[in-house]
Amino acid sequence: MVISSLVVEVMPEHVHDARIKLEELEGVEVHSVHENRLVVTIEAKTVDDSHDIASSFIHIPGVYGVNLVYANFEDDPTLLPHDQAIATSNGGEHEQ
Amino acid sequence: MDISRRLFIKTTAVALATAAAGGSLTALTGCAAQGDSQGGASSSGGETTTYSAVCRFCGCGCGVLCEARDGRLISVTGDPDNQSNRGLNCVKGYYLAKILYGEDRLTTPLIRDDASTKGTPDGLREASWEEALDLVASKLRETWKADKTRLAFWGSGQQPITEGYLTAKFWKAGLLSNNIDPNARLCMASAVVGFMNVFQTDEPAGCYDDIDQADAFITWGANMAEAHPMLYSRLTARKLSGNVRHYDLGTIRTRTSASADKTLIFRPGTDLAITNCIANYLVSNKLYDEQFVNDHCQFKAGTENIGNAYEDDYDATEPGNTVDAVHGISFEEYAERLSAYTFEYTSELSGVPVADLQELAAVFAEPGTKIMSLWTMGVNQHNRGTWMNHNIYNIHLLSGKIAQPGNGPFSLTGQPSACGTAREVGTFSHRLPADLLVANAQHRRYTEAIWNLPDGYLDAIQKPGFHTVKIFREMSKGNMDFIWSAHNNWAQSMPNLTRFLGYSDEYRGIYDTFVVVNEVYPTITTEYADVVFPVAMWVEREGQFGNGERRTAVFEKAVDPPGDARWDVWVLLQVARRVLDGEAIDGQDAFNRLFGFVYDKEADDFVGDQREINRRIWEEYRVFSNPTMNERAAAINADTGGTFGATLKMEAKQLAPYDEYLKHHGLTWPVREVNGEWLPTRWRFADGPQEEGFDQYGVAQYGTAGKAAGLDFYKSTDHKPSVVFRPYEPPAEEPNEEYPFWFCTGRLLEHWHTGTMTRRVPELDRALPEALLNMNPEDCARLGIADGDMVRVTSHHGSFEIKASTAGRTEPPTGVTFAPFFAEETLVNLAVHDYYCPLSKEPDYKKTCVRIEKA
Repeated sequence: MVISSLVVEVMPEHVHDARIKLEELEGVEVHSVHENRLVVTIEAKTVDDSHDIASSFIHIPGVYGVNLVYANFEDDPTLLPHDQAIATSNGGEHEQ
Repeated sequence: MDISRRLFIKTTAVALATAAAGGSLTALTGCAAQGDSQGGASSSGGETTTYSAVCRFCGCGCGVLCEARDGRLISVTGDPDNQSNRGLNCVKGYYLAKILYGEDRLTTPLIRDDASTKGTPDGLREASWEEALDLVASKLRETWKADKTRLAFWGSGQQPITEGYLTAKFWKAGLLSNNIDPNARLCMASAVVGFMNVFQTDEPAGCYDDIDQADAFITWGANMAEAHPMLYSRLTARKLSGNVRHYDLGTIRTRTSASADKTLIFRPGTDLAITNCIANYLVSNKLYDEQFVNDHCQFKAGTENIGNAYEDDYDATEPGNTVDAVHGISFEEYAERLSAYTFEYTSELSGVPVADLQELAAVFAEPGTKIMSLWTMGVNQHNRGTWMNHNIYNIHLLSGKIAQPGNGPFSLTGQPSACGTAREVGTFSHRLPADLLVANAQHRRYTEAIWNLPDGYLDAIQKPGFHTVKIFREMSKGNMDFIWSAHNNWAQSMPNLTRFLGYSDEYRGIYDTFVVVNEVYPTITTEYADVVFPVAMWVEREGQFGNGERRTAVFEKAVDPPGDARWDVWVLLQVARRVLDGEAIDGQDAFNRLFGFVYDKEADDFVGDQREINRRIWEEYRVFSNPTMNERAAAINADTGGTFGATLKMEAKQLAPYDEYLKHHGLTWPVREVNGEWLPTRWRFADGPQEEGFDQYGVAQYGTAGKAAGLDFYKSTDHKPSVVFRPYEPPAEEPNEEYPFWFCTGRLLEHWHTGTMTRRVPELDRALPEALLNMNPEDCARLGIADGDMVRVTSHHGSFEIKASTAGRTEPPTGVTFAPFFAEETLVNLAVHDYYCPLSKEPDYKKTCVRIEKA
């Protein structure tokens, strides 16, 4: 699982609704709100999926800034060295 | 991943983002997965190591921390200690690591035996380093000995500083050739010449912090929302803080227009008239800052009616060879020249309503309003790009809105080290390091002192070499025998590719030129290469970037390059060792004289590890801005003998010792040593406490306190920047019956650097899989083109096919079209003309005239 965290900036009047929209997304959690800045994590299978989800935030009304803070991709099967990637695809020990 | 590891990572993720959101991230450095990275790499928990680095994807220059385990990157974090981004990255950061691991990374040297296979994906075979290096060195040496005008090096704003510096030293001092130019010629040259003409020093007085304090923003032909997302996010945050306005000026509506308070769409090229109109309003109504003008400005006019480089010999003819000439004029003469630019005339010319022009001009007349102008390619890639840079400075100088917090004209950059490597190091055909010019005798003497060359040695290169367009025009005519490029993709990014790639029988020179390419992935350029050197990418070696706010930052080596890929510096020195074999400087072996401080020729190895090699190169480069480190240089800087009649003031760009950059995660120059601490400068020329980012020591050494706004432009002639009158002159081409549309090209969010890296990432490619021609719906209806139809775009220079779209990322007005240049299957540059600003030699990618037909 790729785990990443972001600070999502939202127009002040949209903070409440944007938070609800974000939490509806699979793998997305909103942990706290600092004025108009939301602390968000994404858990997804790959970096590509994580980027996909993060990029979709901009379409939520009121969202004007999507800032990546941290991304851990040690478990992204598409980023493993070739021999380990084969092990993973065979149901190897890198599952989870 | 086991549960405890997963919990640890998630806790880390939340903690870091919480700190970033609350603005207290710095306090968290050292917690969780991030080690204390002060002074370089650090280990955490025994299994991972964290390295400080800088993002390489655009010109913002954001800091990033890379965590590695078992030779692979496993996480990235926005670097809280890098003051350019303070812990935040944009979503492109997800791909910082993935881009290293594309399946088609180049890992073995490649040689082409049959030049007729050029332009195809075939014809390259694997070779040993020895064979590839011997071949390249023999071709370079052969060309060098036969005719030095027939070789060239084309560098990049992606090259780290030490690599660019060493390359320039090899080319200028080793080969005594000025035929070296960077791809920054294509993006920043107009900004550079503008800075030099106005201030006699390159790069902005202000910094990114100005964004947090400005009351009004003006974007000039700049789609910041896509090209500089991190800075645009900061701009938007500032807008939300209260009564802050944003005016967006451009020839098309973009994502940036979407959030602006007002968008002013002007006819291509008429931005020159709009800026003069604002100046005319300020001057004719006495709404300029009189004290500021009296204390800080001198007025000039220059050569006009300068035409365009339609012919290859333009630079050598009238008016091409007099375009740089200026002469002093009085304020009254300046006012008189501006007087034609009334609101009515400018409105008629530009198509912008009078009321909008009046509203914009009035902002500059508000005494307390802090204004920030931001621009990139719309201004620079302009047949009068240097003039347009002048004109923006003119209105900021007249209104006194410059070089103070929140107030500043700010030239944004397009690549991570366009400033650091191309501009500061001087990898241009007319430059030496640190703003110095080959044509200036004092500058040559100064460089000779630092490079330990005999007096007069560099007189051989006092004449500038070929600029970029010249290199490729000459190549196309069969006048170049050897071209070496590193970290750029000229076979896609150059304009007029129909000519340069030999599509027409008239220009087949590319097939006869020996082409060498340092690359990390296959590109169109490698399809034309005779030799490809596979090289290390980003954090596979140590390097440094210098970003648009004068911030220099080191990125550490975190992982090894794949296969046989090698560090560019090693490749360069291997070639240099072979080419300079048997050559001498002042009786000493030439290679040892120039590069012995980093490479042991006899042992055929570096004299230290990568950290040490980078440190040694940096410490030599640093002498340029710290003249007291070299007695001979110090005397020339101070002009102690009175030979030159001027001091150089090289301390104006003062750089710190290498290890300070590792310690601070980047510093903005000039960096001053105060009580043993090296302190950066955020506002050049502004008097005030150095600890708060002002240029206290620069003003104290070379300026006078107490002038208007507390400024002293101490690097400018007579301490006064030049307000140069630059008129409106039309674009190089204007629509006519045969070619009725304007065609503009540029960059969109998902792809940078001609897609050489980003298109290896399936997700980025999926987000924007093909280049679309954005058209106005009215134009489409008139031509019977439906959304999604294939069309043929044809200019006087060439043509390409592309899918038309009326619902694209940009919204052009009628008569204007736009397509990005990232897609190698849609080579828009086949049709783009190569006419350039006569002063900066930067091509105008924004105003080619085309016809559009259904394919």
